[in-house]
Amino acid sequence: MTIHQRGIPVRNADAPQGEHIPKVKNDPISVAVNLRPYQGEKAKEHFKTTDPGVDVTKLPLIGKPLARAMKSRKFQFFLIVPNQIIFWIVIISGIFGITDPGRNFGPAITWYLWFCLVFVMMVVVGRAWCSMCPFGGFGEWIQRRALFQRTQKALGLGKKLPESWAGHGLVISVGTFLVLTFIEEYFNIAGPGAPIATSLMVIGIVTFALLSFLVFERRTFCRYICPLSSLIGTVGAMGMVSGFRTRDREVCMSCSTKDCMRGSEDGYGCPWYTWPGSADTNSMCGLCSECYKSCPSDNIGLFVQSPLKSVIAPVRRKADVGLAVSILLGLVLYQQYNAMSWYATLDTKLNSFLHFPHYPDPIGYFGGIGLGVVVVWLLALGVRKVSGAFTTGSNKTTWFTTLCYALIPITGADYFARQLPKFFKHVPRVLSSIGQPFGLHPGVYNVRLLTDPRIVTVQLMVMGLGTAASLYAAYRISGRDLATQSRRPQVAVAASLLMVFAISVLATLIYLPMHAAS
Amino acid sequence: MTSVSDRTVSGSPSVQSPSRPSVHILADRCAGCQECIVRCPTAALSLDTDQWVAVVDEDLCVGCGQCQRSCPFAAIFVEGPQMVTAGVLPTDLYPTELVGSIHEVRQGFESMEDVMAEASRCISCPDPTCVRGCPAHNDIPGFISALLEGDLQGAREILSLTSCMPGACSRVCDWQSQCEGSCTWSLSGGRGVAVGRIERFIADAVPAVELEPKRSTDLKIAVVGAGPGGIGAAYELFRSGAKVTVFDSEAEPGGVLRWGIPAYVLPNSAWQPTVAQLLDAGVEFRLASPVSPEDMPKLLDSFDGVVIAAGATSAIVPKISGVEMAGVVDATTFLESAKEQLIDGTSVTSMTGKHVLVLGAGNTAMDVARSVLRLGGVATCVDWMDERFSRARPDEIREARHEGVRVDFCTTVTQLIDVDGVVGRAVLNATEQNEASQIPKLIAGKVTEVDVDMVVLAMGYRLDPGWTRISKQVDFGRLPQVVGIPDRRWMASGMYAGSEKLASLALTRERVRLDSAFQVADRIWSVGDVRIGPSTVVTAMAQGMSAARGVIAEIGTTAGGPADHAYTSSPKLRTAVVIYESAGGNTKKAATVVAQSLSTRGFDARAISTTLAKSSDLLDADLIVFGTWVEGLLLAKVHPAEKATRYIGTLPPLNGKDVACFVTFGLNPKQSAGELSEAFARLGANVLASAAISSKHLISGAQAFARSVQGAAKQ
Repeated sequence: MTIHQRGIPVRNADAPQGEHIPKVKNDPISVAVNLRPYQGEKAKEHFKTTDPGVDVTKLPLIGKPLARAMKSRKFQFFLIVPNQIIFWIVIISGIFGITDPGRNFGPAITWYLWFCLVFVMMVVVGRAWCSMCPFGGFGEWIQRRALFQRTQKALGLGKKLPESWAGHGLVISVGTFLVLTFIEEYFNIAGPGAPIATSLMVIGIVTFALLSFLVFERRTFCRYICPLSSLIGTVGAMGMVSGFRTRDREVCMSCSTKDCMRGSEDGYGCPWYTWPGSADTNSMCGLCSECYKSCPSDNIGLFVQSPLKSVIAPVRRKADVGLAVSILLGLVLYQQYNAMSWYATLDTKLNSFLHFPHYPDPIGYFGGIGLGVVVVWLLALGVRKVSGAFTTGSNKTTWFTTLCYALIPITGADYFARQLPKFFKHVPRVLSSIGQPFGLHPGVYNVRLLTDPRIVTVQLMVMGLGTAASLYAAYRISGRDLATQSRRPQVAVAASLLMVFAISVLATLIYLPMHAAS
Repeated sequence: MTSVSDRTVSGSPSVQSPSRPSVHILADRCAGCQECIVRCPTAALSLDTDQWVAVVDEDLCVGCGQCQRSCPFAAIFVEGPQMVTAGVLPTDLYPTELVGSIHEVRQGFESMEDVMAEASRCISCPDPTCVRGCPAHNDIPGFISALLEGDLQGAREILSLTSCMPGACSRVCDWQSQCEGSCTWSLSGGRGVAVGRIERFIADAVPAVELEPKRSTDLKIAVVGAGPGGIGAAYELFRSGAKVTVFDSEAEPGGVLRWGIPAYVLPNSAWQPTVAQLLDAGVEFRLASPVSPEDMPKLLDSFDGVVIAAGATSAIVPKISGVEMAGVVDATTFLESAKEQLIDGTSVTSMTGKHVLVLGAGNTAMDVARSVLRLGGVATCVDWMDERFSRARPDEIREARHEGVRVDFCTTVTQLIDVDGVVGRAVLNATEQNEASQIPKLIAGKVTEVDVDMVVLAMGYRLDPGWTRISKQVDFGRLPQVVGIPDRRWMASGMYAGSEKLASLALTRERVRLDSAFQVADRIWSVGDVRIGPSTVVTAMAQGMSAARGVIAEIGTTAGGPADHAYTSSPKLRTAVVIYESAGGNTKKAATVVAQSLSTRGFDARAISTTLAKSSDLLDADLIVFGTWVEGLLLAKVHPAEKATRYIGTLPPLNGKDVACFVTFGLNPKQSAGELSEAFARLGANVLASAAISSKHLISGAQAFARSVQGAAKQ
């Protein structure tokens, strides 16, 4: 900044002055307000690829009732309540119920059914689970001091997540997911092991969530800290619900109040820090409908999109998403090969070396995951090398991040496939566990929906679908984002496809020797 | 004068402290909404249209923190020093010889050079929070820019758009809780631009600007009271072309400006040019002509409208024994005679050696005590409140103590004792108060006695109950709220993020200012103390000017003259505003149909939601249509939606306004439409029609309603 000789900070005289706040008669404030112009003309082009097509609230038949329901403050409350009830039963059942995990409602519903359902929801919808999650819901009720009303004073410290943390996006969430998974593996919670372990884990998560809600503002926990956020935020991008988006972008751009961000009498400011006016992915829309309620211009709709759109279309690729995908892929690959006998031998050796009591050995666990990330990184660098990337504006991280987006479908498919054995083998036990406290034994305890070779077939089909989706994504993403940064565009596309194919095939083939291990 | 040596004002510079501000943008959370970009005073922020996130050019950043305060998602942080000069501030003058002194204690700028140096600290914020903080909403960046260009006349003209007495306001305003406190530098922890003293320099250099009515009308308006509120109303009414007559019980105009504020704070020369201008222009001042509330019907016979600005003039008298005896006077009487004695220079030593006990330690009490000192006496102020909860200006108390006034908080008088027929002794008792809301309690046994020669009652002023009944007095601190969420435009400005207390106080003032444009009864407006209880000069003046605009908007056309003034355009059609409270969309749809239908029937009509409707929308409308949905248990306990009822509860009086209302319902509206009519009738509105519209026949029902409204409006 130049200091004028009189000490005047020179106003940027070239900066144009805007007029988008109208001069209102009888309002001298509006006469004195001279906002700079906002950048709106480039918006259409920027959001062209990511704008969804269909606003569900405008559809015939379902549109109107849905709109009416979402305008109601009780909308999310009614989504959360059933899950809230189930989860408190899970906790109580785990502590006081029968010790056989297969007959105890807590572990049975959590590990045979819920985990699979969450995957289906995230792949089909996106953050559907977040909108009904009992952990976040409970924390939010306490934080807002209300079950559904719009209150003004939040309980707790209302801190903002420190900038140095928030800057890392989904990475904290990946960290908590890794730690939670390690704890779960160590105590064999999801096996499932002793029912009380499931209860304690749920209590731990609820407590941690509640504390986070009391320390930080809005849904900082859900966006940055929740272990599932990284998984849903990445894999959920395949979903067909775009979330709440603007109907007319110009209205949002010129909006002088931004009620959807700050909150109004009718709704809270976006708990997820997402602005419908510029959302280009469903990844951070928690589907809570607060913006829909608070918009004074009725300019927000609930949109649907074609599958994979939020994977392929975003122009703005985020490094934290890329890193999260590679770590999550590393984790699921680890969980695949650790079911094999050679890994059990390796794990035992590592444990005796470290004097660590039992599986999973931390070096093997974190090292295995790290290895996955390194492999993806090296492959991405290889793709970059053979493609002849331009040196300016196309660094290694950009290539790694972009290619990781293409790995989202196979990562999602892998997690889902890995859950299938538990589902097919044991899901009828949920019925047994429901009947158990009432002395009812429906006789389905040992019923299996599918058995070993057939389960593997289904797993391979799921992985096949995931591979196809990843290849399609790689084709589209590399064609648009990488080919343009390369001296050999066709090679960039081919190498990207090859890399994604190699990883997908590797992940798929491991299911053969796993023999539907759960 | 203090001089400029150091560029930074936020903290003392040290070796480690960064020399430039640094800006951190959380790319992860930045939504590219551009709230920061449109408000950045130096255009240091811009949008990266590839990534759609804000980016900063730190070389342009001055560290004012406006971006940080206006970001809805806390995605931008500013650290480091404020890049602004220390500026120049006039030091306050404490006369070494107080007796007989009428020198102004608070000094203005002495030279153009100094005022320019201070004015140059203003960075012309695109969304100037100082303007929101100013009760009159002076265009502060506007007049400062004119000043910096050397155009004093231009600066004064900008001021005159919103303030008729900048000379007085700039001296008596509490800048720290108004313009200067809301300055962007101040909101981010530094020293705000000395707006008050810059304004004073301009007003002193150009005492008045040309006052000409924009056009002449036949509108005859009476203004009751020639204090700040009355002068504000008269000035704006005259400018809008009305014929104005100002009544006052005193022999000279000015009200509290003349008798209530000592010359060492406010010399008469600071406000008298405005009155002189009004007199020259032909505004009639009927002085020594007291008007009582009972005279209103008579006034309304002779005038088209009346603005009541009678002020609060009678002192509050405590219920203690001995308060009626000789030697006990009220602040009004004392201040008036003290000011006269000091100005004309006679008997300025009349109180030499006398001990004056002042009951109260507010701003008026300080004025009394400091006047006592200037008349040669000794003064002690006592107040039963704890100093922590005192509502007096801290600088006022500081200055008084500096001059030698003894100010004792947590002390009250329980008895005044007669010595030779006049007050001679006072019994004081210590009190305690632990919370602001708590009434102070006497501490048993802690009693002292002091010799006094005079006791002045300065515990505040009381309003004439006759006036408060007519003026629909509201409790400034307890205005009804829809829900406790402030206007989002004010939130967007970043003022709330800077100082919630300051912002909510300013917004409350703003609401009262806008409300004062509405009639409190047929053809009656009320402003200032009679409207909101004892308040400040600038608030009363701003309300007076607002009421004048209300007069023109409401009866300007019916009385024959065209309605036009500073911010209005002349209406061709009758304007109608359809305000709706909608939940599921039915009421909104009905409201839209009503507005469309009215538009084809000779109205300039539009539909607007309760969230967006401002009182200016109501003021400018000839017809207000209000619609809401009904809530209840389908058939039992059915009422208009609670949110709608709350909204109506926040509306100003709507005397003389044509109102029509409707409810939309699914099964059975019960008495909802009638309840809505009653609510508006209670506000004084003329309810033309009300209807319940079934959601099954929404469009035809809304059209039929619009027809009936038009029919009723014709009659």
